[in-house]
Amino acid sequence: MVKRTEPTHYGKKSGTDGKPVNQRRTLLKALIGVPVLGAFAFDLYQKQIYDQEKKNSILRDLGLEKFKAPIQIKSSTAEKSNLLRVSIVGFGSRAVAHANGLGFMHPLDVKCRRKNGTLDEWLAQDNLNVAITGICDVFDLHAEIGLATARNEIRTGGGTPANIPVKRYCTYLEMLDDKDIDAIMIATPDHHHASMAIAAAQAGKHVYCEKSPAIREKELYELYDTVKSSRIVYQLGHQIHQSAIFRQGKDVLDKDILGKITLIETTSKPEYAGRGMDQEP
Amino acid sequence: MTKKDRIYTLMQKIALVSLRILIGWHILYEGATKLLSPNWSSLGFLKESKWILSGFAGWIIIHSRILAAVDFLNTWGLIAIGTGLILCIFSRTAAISGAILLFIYYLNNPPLIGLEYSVPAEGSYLVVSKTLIESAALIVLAVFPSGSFAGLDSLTLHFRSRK
Repeated sequence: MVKRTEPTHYGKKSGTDGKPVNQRRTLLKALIGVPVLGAFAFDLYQKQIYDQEKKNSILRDLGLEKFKAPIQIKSSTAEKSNLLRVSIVGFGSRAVAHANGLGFMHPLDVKCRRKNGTLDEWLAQDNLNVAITGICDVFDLHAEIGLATARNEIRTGGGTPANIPVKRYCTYLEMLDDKDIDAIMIATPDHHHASMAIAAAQAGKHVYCEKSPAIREKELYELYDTVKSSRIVYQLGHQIHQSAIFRQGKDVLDKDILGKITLIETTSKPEYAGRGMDQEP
Repeated sequence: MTKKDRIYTLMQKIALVSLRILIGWHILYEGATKLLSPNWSSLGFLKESKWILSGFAGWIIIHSRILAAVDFLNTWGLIAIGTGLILCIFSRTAAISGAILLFIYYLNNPPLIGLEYSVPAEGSYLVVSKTLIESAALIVLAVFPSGSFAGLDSLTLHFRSRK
């Protein structure tokens, strides 16, 4: 037989067996969680101190205590006369992001951002004094999205539309022939990058193109030579290494904290694994 | 006090109260760390969501205000549930809420065949994970309440029975 404990008898002067109820015991049992909570608070405090000290010691070891995050570069207040007329070739998802960065957004995206409360964050970007004056895409749907984005009148940084008509071009060569374009943004698949950038440099248009600039060594040299012999500005879009952690990483390397680097291993998210650099062009 | 309380043995009472306090401690710490990490967000967890709730998780992610509300409710919900279980205040509500919350976590990343996550689990699980077990343990605590003999709920019962 299992021994049963005494039942508690709240509000009664005596129990069923006639023994008086111990009020103090009832109260102590009721407050059983209080010392536990006290112990929890103490442990939490100790853990916080431990974590902070650990973090400080790592920063001390790496000599990164005084590291300052890079300052955000503000664009200079450009004058109206310096308006940059940009055309975009290839209007897929990257071009949408580029357009947003330039201060342009598709009406549906504006609506969506207004709804989810992130529109103001985008509107706070600088006014770069840029006009998207042309879109080139072989896919009609993408071209239409591009045109609607370029024509939408809402601008970041309190900018106003430049009132320059936005043209659609069927080929990038046709786009490069247009004298009313200062620069092109290349947002096509990688294998088009080099040939388009070379043609743009030859046509005297400035170029913004993301990695990879070329997929074959030969065309990379050709691109380099063409850009060097022209008077254009070629900007290779590589944002990630602008991030503070890369500067911190370089600092760690420069200070020889890691010693001689003999092996570099990189990993990628599983969904990108099939798109790695090991693929043959 | 219910008649059921009378049939608990001392060992049963100790086991139930210990389970309640241990789970309470864990849940309270989960909430406290989220509160103390300024950059914490449920975004990473929701991004990893697989199975039947992945669509719902995706909907939360794309609405920043809803995500912020989910983060707030999750953090303070965990703190309230953990405190409720340790102090045994509204312990049955705390146990049921905790069981539901943990079950939602489980449904977002159940260890089912064919579902792969970018972060490997710390143990080996097939269908059943520790989250599911903790959720089930909270159901046990809700069904076998220990509030009537150890915890602040017992005082409520005490005063009620005096009236």
